[in-house]
Amino acid sequence: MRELVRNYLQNGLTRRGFVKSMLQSGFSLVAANSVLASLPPSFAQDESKKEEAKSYTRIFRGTGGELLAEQLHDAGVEYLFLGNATGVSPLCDAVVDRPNMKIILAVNEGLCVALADGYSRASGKTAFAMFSRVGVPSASSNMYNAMKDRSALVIASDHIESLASGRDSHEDFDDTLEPVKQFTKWRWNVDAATRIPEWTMKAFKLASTPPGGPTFLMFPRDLLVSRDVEAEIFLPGTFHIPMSVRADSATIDKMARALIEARSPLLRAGADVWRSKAIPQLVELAELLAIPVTSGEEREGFRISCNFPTNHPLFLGGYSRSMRYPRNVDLILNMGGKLPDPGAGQPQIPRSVKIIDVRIEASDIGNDYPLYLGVAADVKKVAEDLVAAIKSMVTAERLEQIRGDRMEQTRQFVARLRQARLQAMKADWDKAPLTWERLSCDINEALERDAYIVAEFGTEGPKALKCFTFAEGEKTLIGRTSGSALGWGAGAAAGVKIAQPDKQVISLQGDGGFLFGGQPMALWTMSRYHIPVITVVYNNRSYNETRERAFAEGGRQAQTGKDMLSYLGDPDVDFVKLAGAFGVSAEQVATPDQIKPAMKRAARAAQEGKPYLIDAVVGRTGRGADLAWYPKLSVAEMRSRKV
Amino acid sequence: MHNRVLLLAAALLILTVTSTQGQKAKEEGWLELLPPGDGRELVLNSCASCHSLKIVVHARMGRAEWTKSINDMIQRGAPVFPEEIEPITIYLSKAFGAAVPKLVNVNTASREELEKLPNLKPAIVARILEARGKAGPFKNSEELRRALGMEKGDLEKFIYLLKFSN
Repeated sequence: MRELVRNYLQNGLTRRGFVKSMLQSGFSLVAANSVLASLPPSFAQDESKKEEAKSYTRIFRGTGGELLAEQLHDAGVEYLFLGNATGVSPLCDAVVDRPNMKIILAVNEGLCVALADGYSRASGKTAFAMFSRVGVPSASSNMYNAMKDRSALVIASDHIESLASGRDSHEDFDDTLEPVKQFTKWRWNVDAATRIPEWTMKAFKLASTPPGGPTFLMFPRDLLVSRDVEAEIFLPGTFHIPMSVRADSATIDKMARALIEARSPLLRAGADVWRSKAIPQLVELAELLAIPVTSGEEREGFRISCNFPTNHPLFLGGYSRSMRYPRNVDLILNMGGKLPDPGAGQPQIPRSVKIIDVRIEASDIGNDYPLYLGVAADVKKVAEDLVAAIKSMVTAERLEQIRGDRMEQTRQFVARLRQARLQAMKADWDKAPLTWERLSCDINEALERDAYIVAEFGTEGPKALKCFTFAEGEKTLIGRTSGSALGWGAGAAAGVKIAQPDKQVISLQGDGGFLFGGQPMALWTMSRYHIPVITVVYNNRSYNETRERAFAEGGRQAQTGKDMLSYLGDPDVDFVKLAGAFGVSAEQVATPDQIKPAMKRAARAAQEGKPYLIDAVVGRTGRGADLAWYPKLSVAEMRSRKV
Repeated sequence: MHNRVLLLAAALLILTVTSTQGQKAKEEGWLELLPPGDGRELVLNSCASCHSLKIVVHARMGRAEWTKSINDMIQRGAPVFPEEIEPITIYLSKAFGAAVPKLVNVNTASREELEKLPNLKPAIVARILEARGKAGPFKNSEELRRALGMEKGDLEKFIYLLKFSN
């Protein structure tokens, strides 16, 4: 549709032609006319506007809020993820007469960002969120998550009136952009109403240009309420910077030769692969030379996204320095993810290994490891060019020789591990409390084949996620964030469902994580806008990861059996009632036989357009798992007066 | 002791973040604390590919507890083949069973603590204490062996019960 809009706006496609093309694309006549009505005049068809058309802008006169709305519209924004703030009102005023823009209200600012982030990841579009300036600190943990994962978000807040700022007065503070500096790619305090569209356009351009990342704008209230402001609106497509950058042929040849000559190469697939939609190209490259593939993240597998089909015979899972297979790796082709954290000891990739690091984020290439070759380019183009180069360099017979039995060896290795996993999994399969594996495998079977999984697990996550297949035509994984700041998943899942309304979306959370950052408040947004997400809380009444790590260190908590921080069983949160408070149906699952029936009810609710929550009682694991001790303190008993 | 049962379940979790500890553990001498036995190489292949052996050599658990722990590790991605589960479980249950004495820090332990360890006769303990006074603290088993002037075979009889740091 974007292409159609561009042709209509810029290339002389007639109104009739536009509608006809929309109908051919499967849209209804009502939808086609609605889209047409929402578009600005087609300059390419208006002789009197030809001069303006060449400038790629249009003139608009209105309030500051309307200028912002117009520019958001031309940036392709359909959803405004808003938080409560009087300073957002001028934008809301503008939306009253722009029904093609839809407001999604969240009840805290962190959720605004999480919603926008989930929407952006699942739609591939740049998302917009706006809230009060005093809510910026509350939003910052999810801004941090978004920055770590280079999410394309434009985040905005209102600001005190221009002539009143700098006095530490009502809801004002100095150096207003400083708090978001580390969590944004770019930030600006808008100080002229006529330039609202320009800075908005710039924020969108920078957020969406790979490597992306959140940008931030502050709009003083007086500018947004200004009237009769005339400004240029930047037309769609005029601030999109494609970054499908190719590597030069000499570099490609050098890479190809290294891969051909490598005795035991390994390919790491990072998040750029998913962002560039390069999975098919990466699969072709891996298959061409039968190169085993690991995820771009360590051990846990995927965090931001799934970057290689998990059911592919060459896929090994997570990377580690001491991998059992393949042995004696002599070359690592790192495609689109950070190289493994060297940590405080030995580097995770031995110095003897040739490293080729291919990323679009040039500033991050080779920062922690000496490289054989660093390549700042799009992984999709590099994979395509490598395949062509390799095929041109060696004969089919030589290719067969290079491949040898690597494919079969890898397949067998993975199959044997899988067999062991299935064997081990069955030990506590029918027990209660539920194991993470049983719960996850039953959820997997109950879900539609191409459901979206929005996961925010801690260190139990690998056990759960191994139960799902992530691949084309299979399930799609979104999350956990690489930033790991909890309080993201529930809001993000709602954003994913808004972006993919025709896909089943399930949010998987631990109870500790779900209680972080006001995540239950995401149920409010799901309920209000009929966002049919299924939420499953893996409830072990514990910050399991925290306790395990603390106890394994063998300190005083472990020695005395005193869990000072992690036990969450008191109060024993009733998640069913909690969901009910938001009008969300819910139930508890405590035994294995209850999982699938509960999932059926959840799926039925989703079909009816309603969110649903399952509170699943899972077991704790690791040292101190049996402890229900926590440091007691009663302020009530400290009182000398019972008031 | 159910919470002890799952000691190893903690292992990967702790060390997934600081995965260089595997190498660090080798430097610190944890590798040498794996006593000889049929499953030793399998433990090295599977356990040490993800986490430090420090966790393994400090654990003391019964067979059922080790089984549970190993199953949990496999779920998390430990590279173990089906036929290896049994020998790994047997090896770990024997080498680090509930009845096996806890590791003692050779650089700080008292005479009484050292003498309680199997295969450490009072005469050897006396040599260790003397060597520690002259050349300690020892960084690893090789330093201790040289200080004692002892053959590797003799050292192996008790070295798996000693550690060089906490």
